Amino acid sequence: MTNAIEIRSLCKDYGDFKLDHVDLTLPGGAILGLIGENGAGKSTTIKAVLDLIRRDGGSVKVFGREVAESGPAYKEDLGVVLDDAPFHDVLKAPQVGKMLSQIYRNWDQGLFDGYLDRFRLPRDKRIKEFSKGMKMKLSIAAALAHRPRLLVLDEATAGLDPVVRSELLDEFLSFIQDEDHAILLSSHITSDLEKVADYVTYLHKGRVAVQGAKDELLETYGRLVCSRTDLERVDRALLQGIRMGQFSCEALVKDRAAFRRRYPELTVDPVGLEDIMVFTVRGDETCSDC
Amino acid sequence: MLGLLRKDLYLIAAMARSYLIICAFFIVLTVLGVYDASFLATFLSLICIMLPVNVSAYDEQARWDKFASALPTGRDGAVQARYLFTALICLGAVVLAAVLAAAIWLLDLGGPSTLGDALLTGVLPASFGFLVNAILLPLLFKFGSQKGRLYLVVAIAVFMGCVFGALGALSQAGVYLTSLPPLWLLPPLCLLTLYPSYCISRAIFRRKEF
Repeated sequence: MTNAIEIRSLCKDYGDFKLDHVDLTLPGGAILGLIGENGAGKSTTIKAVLDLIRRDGGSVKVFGREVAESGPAYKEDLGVVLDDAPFHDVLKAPQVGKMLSQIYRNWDQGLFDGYLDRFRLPRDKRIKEFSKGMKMKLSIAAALAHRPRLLVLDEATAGLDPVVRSELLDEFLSFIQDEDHAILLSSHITSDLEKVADYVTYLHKGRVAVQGAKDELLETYGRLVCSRTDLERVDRALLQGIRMGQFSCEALVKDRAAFRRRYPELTVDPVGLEDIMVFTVRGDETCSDC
Repeated sequence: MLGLLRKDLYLIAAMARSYLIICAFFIVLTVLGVYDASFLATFLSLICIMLPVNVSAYDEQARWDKFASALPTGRDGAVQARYLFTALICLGAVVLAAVLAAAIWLLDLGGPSTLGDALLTGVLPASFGFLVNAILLPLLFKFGSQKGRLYLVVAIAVFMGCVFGALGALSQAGVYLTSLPPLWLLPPLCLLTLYPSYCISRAIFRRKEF
């Protein structure tokens, strides 16, 4: 089966920031979570998928077609949700539906109306009266109502309360029940990705720092909590980052099983994506006390 | 593309009330003979210039261009829709100006002696909207509504300087406007200026990064 997204050696140089040879593959029937700190290159990667930037190198394929060469028609298969809801404040939700119905060939007005009902979005209010969560739900309804095969979501759950986020995550999970569907989801909220993502790509300073199947990553990495004395005798090649406390040290272990075999007396706990992210950011930091 | 045109129409519908009130006010004053038809037509062309600027400002506020470029209509579709919208409102202004000028002539409220001249006094200033938008739209696509307006003032000043300079030069050479091709040609010629303008805007928007 053709991958939904295939990015190879993507480069984009903004002068003060560079996306540096990013590789990424999103198979069908899966959700890929794109994580990273602000300015790590998540949005630039998404813009490359949407052909919104001129690349300096590499290739981006969506459903097997190079986006820069296939023209905008490939976007019929894409549902796009950007970090800011793009619909004008003076419009009303049904007007958004009528407008998009003349843009997407596969627009399903009934499906859109169904989402408006399900998300409890008022039809008679202007969008300026909507809360942030309601605007995001409208964007998602608009993105889903033309029955896309690929959803591209840039910080779609940012700033939303946990109830709305949970509702949207359920929607994403039901979307990928069809194996031909896939989701590229960038987010700061790693707990959301832990719930729904099948694959994770962590971008750090424009490069892929960590990548793989989420469950494997969570299984492989570990968190070492020990004293400074214990830390001193640990092979640093096994660690990704170290956090020094007053009474103890914490470190991200790259391979939990291998570490346990070598240091069975030390305790290594499971980690979350946030731990991997934080420790990797601090990976370059060295402590003179260590 | 029709969906994008529909969006622009929704946006102007949202601000239609204030424009309609102002238009009605000037139409009444024109019918009462306070202003002549050419003044009203010039006012209509001014609205034709303001509407694309306002719609662009709304788009910028919503960060619409980025989303529009991610739609299947693509970047070209966004530019085409804006030009179609502009051409439609300018054509509407020309037709409205012609109808009002004819009505004023038929009601014998003053003005030119023939219906043809009366129509021209309405249609010619209204056609100015095509010309100014042909200059304005590439500036809006390049610089946005805030900077674009500033550059428009400069562009219009340069343009008017060229026009008056050319007219002065023609006059000195003994060539007068009445001896030039029929004035009826001016509105379609003004409309045609939108095409090279569209090509420039399309090139600008294709190169734009979001």
